[in-house]
Amino acid sequence: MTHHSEGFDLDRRSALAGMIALFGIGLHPALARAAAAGADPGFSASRSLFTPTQRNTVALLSERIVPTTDTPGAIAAGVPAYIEMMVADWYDGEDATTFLSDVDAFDALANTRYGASLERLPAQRLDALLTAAMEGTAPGLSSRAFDHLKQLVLTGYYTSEVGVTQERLYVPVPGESDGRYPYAKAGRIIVTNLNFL
Amino acid sequence: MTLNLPASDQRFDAIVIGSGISGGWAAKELTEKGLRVLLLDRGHVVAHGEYPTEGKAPFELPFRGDTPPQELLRDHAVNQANEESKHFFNNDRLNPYAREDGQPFDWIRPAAFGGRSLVWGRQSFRWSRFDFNANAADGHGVPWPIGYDDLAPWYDHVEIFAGIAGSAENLPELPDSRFLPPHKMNVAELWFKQQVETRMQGRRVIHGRASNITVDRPDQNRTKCQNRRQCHRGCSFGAYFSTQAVTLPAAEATGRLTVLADRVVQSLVYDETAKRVTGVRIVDTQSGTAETLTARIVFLCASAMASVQILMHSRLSNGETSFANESGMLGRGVMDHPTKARVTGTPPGLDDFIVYGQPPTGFVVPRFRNLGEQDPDADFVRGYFYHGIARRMPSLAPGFGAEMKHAMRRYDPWRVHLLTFAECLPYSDNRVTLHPEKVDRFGVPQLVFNVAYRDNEQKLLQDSMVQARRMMEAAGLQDIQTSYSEPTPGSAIHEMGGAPMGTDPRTSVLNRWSQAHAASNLFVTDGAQMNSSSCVNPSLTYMALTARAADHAARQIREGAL
Ligand SMILES: Cc1cc2nc3c(=O)[nH]c(=O)nc-3n(C[C@H](O)[C@H](O)[C@H](O)COP(=O)(O)OP(=O)(O)OC[C@H]3O[C@@H](n4cnc5c(N)ncnc54)[C@H](O)[C@@H]3O)c2cc1C
Repeated sequence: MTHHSEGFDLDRRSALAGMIALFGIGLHPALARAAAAGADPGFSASRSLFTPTQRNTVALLSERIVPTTDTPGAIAAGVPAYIEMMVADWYDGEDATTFLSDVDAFDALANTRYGASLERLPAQRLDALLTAAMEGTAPGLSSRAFDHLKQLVLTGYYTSEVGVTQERLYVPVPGESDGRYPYAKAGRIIVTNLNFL
Repeated sequence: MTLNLPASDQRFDAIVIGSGISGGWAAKELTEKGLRVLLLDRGHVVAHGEYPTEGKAPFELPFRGDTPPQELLRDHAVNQANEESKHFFNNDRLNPYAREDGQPFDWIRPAAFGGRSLVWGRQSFRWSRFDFNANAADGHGVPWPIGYDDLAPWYDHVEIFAGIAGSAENLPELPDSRFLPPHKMNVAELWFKQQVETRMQGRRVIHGRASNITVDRPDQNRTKCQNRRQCHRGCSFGAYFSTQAVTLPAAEATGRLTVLADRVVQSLVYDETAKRVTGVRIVDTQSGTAETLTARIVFLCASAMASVQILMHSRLSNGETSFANESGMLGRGVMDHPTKARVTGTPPGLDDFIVYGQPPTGFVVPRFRNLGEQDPDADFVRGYFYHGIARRMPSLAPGFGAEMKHAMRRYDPWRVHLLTFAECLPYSDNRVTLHPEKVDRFGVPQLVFNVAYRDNEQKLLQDSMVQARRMMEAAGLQDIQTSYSEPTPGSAIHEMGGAPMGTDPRTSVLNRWSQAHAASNLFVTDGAQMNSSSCVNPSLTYMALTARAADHAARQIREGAL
């Protein structure tokens, strides 16, 4: 948002911009552009972009980044479709190409390291690939491949119904305000409006 | 709402142009004083309670709260409105101003009936004696023809009805309103208040002052604030002041109000002999039909810049000059509040607490610079104040997987924010003009803005960052950070001036009753009349000035003077 009138324009900040604020410096430029332009974090791409393998890879990696625990994970929250939409409709040509080639590189890595396609890998091997990507020791990946994938997963997850109502505590009509509420009583992030604060 | 009656068949005592914060008050006051009023607005109808995005969760909005980028660039390039409230904001493509032809200015306009009362930040402050004396004291701008005491009873009047929550502090620099109980400060704000006030003599940290009611008002059909913090989507509880929730129902209850939405005013008809406004030229925005309406008096409340535009386009028979510009001051002295200077810091030891329920306001630090006399260490005139808030953001955890996911359930440390709002001097060459060729789709010449912040504004912002840091250091905050970006005039959405009030028709457009020197039956009661800007949010002052002008107009009608 370009303007602040009340002082702190929590009001007019969108969910995506709110998420973006979390990442601060180091944000993927395409995601930053999308946020600045008021990106659409809706979950349906205007065109299908991924190959079936790429779609599968993105889903598997997303679920390892935000796995199902005591609450549903990325797949149940619709994150893979969100990512396809962002890459298809938001990323410019170069960023999209980099993203797709990183996805392909994850697949290639599965084959060279473990001699199997990525979808056949057990969870701890997927995690090992992600760790290598995170630590910058995975050959063939762009330098920020992990960060960019993680940003997409988190943004999609925490704006979804699962993210808002199950992973976080959704309190749309608080009635009263308590500015000294013990965190221990919630144990979660309380979401009252789009700004999830 | 009485809608879309054939207006020319009716007889009205008064036409009110614009149904925002100012026009809503004009309609209420005039109808309650017995006048038959026509309230006109270019915006589309929005009925109270019928707010399209109210109460929707992020995943219930098709674009999760964001305006698709193509649409944003096309239709909301200036106001950058998001999906939550874009239906209340101007379509900048259909209704442009000559943005490329002047200096950068963000003119952020509404699209709906009720104007910006639907989306405003609701911060409501009285101006002080220092503010009304400022021009006379330091020689900038036209001296105010009225003082604080002239307006005080009208502040009382509008505050009691609008409902302003705040705390009485007895500060001459920020006079108390007739308050409802304040919204609560959170634990970090209270801590900051206590630290600052014990460690820095004379520095105050007080409750924000918001037109969100804290007690039910069944007489007005309003329910107190529910701490949802989504006011800008519209509030069917009627918790905050808007035309729809507050002034319109009162005006309608008199049975003397007629409302016409989707009607844009092009100009006023002026009788040069009688020195009166004799008509209002309007166009139906849907059908394109034009007509001229008449009434005994006209209240121009289209918002500061729009009212100036209408006045400029209301020409004498020479076809060149505006009837209201004998002084040459029309369109001059345009102001907004320089902002975008922010200092933040972390209070220690409050990590166990979070906020449940988001109150509609934070805190403020009242102005402390150049009060009454010039501070010896200040190389600028006038002052600034801070809007503040303390909040915690969700943490971003490193890594991935279950551990990261669960670590994302925690909050980052508290941050206390101080954001400056500074006073802008009334420079007569900070001005708007009509473009010589470009017209809008209703044939009205587009506005060109040549408004810039100058040395005094820059110095105020710089000083505010130094002082904010000092306060935070004295309070014992940690990790103090400053951020600044050059403010574009208009971006604080407190644009005002352009038709200053004054005693002398040679140097002002309006008299002390917001009444045009050139036409005694025309009142301009929005921000156009301001001849200084104070540093506090202006809308409460427009309400008070409007009610005062309406009282004066009704009295003059009774006395046969109008
Ligand atoms: C996001 C935001 C936050 C804000 N926060 C605050 C705050 O915290 N405190 C504060 O004091 N102020 C705040 N403001 C500013 C405040 O909204 C304005 O000062 C106030 O609304 C001005 O009232 P008004 O009646 O003069 O104009 P408006 O409320 O803008 O109403 C003007 C009306 O006139 C109509 N109109 C315009 N031109 C024509 C025409 N030619 N013909 C017919 N009708 C016309 C418009 O459609 C509109 O309905 C904020 C504004 C915004 C947008």
